[in-house]
Amino acid sequence: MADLTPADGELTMSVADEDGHAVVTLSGELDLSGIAEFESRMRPLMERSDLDEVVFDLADLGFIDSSGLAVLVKTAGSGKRVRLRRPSNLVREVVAITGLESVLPVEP
Amino acid sequence: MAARQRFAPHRLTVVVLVVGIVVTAVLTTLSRLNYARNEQHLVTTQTRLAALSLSSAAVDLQRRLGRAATLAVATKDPAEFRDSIAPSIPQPFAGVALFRVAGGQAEPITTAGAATMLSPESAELQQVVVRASKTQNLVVTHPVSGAQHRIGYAYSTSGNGGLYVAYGESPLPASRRVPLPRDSPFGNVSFAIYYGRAQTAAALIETDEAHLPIRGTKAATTFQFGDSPLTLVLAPRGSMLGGFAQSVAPTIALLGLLFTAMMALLAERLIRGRAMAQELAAANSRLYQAQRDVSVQLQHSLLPQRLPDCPHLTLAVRYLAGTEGIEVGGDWYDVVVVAPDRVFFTVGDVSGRGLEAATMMGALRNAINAYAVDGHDPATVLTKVSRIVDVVEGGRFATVLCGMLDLSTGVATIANAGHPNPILVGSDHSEVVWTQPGAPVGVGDSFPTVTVELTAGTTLLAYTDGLVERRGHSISSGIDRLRASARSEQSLDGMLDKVLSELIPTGPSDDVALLGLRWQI
Repeated sequence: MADLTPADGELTMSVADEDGHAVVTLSGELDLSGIAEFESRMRPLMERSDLDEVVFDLADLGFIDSSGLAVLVKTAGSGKRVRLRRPSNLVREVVAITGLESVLPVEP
Repeated sequence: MAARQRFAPHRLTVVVLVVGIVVTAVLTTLSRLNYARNEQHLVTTQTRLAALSLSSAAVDLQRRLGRAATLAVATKDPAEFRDSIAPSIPQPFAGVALFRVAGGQAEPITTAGAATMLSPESAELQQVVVRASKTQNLVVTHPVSGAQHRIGYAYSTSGNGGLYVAYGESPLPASRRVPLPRDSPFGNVSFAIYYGRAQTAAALIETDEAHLPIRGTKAATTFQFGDSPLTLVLAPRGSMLGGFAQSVAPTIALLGLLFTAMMALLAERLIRGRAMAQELAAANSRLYQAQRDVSVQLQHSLLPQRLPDCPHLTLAVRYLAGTEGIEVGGDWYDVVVVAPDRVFFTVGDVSGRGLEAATMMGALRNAINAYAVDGHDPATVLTKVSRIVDVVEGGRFATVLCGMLDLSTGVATIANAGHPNPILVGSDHSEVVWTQPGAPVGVGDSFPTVTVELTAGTTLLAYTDGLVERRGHSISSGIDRLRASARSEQSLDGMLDKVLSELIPTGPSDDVALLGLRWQI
């Protein structure tokens, strides 16, 4: 499945462990149509006690809506440090407009 | 669905049936023609073989008559003739007679066996004998009928000062019917042998058929028997090619019809399946529309039913349900009078959709109004309502822009919890009101406040992100379009309609709430 190119706009997601933190790579578009799956796959990560940081790699994420942001914020609220990696300008703008830059900081 | 009253096949099914039946008929006919041709060919071949075999019988008759006559001529003793012919009586000859021919006259010399049916003195037999005297061939007579059926043969021998002719009559079976034994090489055919070429009852020599002429597949051949032509007609009893060859055409017909019926059934099933799928799709679409209608109705019931009527203030609102999804959204607007010269306005958006989002929206709207009426400023109101929403617990947050407008001065105090900035539309320009948003309600609990002074006639436009959000485009570009679209010279309602028609001409994918406040002195 990983080799298949997803339909335009469809959300694909992969999770990898990277020394002490999880890297969640999102591509496509994160909106209501994919939110249920995204949330259900994030839940075990939020509950993992060995993780103190979750990095969202958003290089290929073209769109995120408020329900998607809410899951990112919820991850941050679950006691993990959350960082965004390589967000597009569009995603950065949404984060900024929503006043979440301090909750969802971009990796230096 | 109503039960069908009668079976009404689809047109395509009928076409499949007709084509199948036609193809089957053509194949069956071709097969039958082919069978008939092969059968005919076989009958013709067998008829020729049978004729060949029959014509050789003439040699035996000729030999018997010739030998007896030659012996009699050599010994000049008619008794030798009788002795010599004796083994040939009563088969193949019932009776024989010996003649001497001289000067065109036939003189009977002796007879053996039964009396010939043609009397030796009769003109008819005289003619036959004279005819035989002029040929080296066996002369064969037309069948003779009387007390018995017979056929006569005459053969001439020369020597001892004259020509001698032996004449024998062979019995034909009663009514000329002779059953062929089933195990003979010709047991599988019916036959009829005629004298001459015409297949008439009078010319019939022998047959094994009760009813003549023979019908159906048959072959006739005329062959020389002695000096006379005989005609043999053969017809197969049953099939010469055998049962398998015979059953090919009916088998093709049967399989063809079965196949046609199956294809027709399949076509009918597919067509009906598609029709049913279309019906289901239509029903789904109706249900979807109905559920969407319910959502839209619920949404409107959660929004203010009427807006306050205040001096110096014109208000207009729009709410458009998103075209994606059928669930109720979480966008809202509200305006309440909190003091004689102050109104508190709100535009907000709960993340996600569905009943839960709508419920949270209703709770937030009521709480905000309650705190506002209590006299709290916008930032305090947002901080207080933060306690009723928790993103970690509920998985939702709300972006809220709220403000207090002093109707006597036109000064608006605005606080923003993660909501898109409003714009201010003046007489000749429009600008973004930079509010420095805090985190959404449910995430943050402190919210900066900005103060904006409205000049007379300017309009504050607050909205939810569905108005300015387009996939693949930045929100700031959407806000630029909004600024270009909003023009102050119009009526406030006209401005809102223009903005909606220009920014989302095909309707919003997400919900859109739009609130306009125009302040006048």
